[in-house]
Amino acid sequence: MILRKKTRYVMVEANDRVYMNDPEIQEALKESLKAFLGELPYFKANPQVAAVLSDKVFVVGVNRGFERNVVLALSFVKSLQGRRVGFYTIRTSGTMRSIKDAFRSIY
Amino acid sequence: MPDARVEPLGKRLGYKKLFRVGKDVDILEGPAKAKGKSIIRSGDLEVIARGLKQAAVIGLLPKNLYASKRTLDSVRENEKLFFIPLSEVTCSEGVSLDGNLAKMRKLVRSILMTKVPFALISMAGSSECLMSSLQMIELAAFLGIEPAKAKESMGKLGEAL
Repeated sequence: MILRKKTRYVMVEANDRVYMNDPEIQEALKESLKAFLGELPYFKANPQVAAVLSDKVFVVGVNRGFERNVVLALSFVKSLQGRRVGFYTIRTSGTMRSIKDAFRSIY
Repeated sequence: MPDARVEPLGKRLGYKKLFRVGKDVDILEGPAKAKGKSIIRSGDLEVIARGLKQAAVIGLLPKNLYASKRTLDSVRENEKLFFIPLSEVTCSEGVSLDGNLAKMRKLVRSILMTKVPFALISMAGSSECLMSSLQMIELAAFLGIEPAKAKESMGKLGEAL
């Protein structure tokens, strides 16, 4: 039997270019989320940048059941590496394919 | 932000329309007469009472995230809206974030207890303070407002305008 990890994907748009491919920026985002969520909920949610769709749009993979916490925490993140930035959560979905379809239809 | 970018951004964030202060609605800080559709922002009870009687005034914005019981009663009696500016919480940092969160929770509790009609708005001063509808609902739930009620109250500004 293969156990599949159940993940929810959150499509996030930044108000400015953020270059989420950069591991340092990803690390800064994770640190900010950890600060707002707290360590235990952060490890339970395990948010990871799952895909970068453009220089402003990226996808965060979150353990199922914790996506609402991550959406809320992203509302409070207003700076990354000393730069002012805002994140808007556009869509949440259970599959990466539907997120990519939504990205193609929206942008 | 240029007009051409506002409408598509609003659609992406899950709104029918984004309303802007100074363009779609004005903010009245003193006892002046409203010229177009306006919202009052004042801590002075007399200014609030006089302002809410004007037909062009659609509601009240709290000053320093505080509203007395008399203020809330005045909003309800005049059949106006009480606006809850969510970005005042998300766009504050450090100590002011803790303080504003506590103040906002208290304000929301008073609003729900007195059954004043309210509308959730972002009142974002800059693009980083904007929020999607999904974020507004989550933040409202965090503050103690049921998601269905939050969703309904997000459309009230558009109805009033």
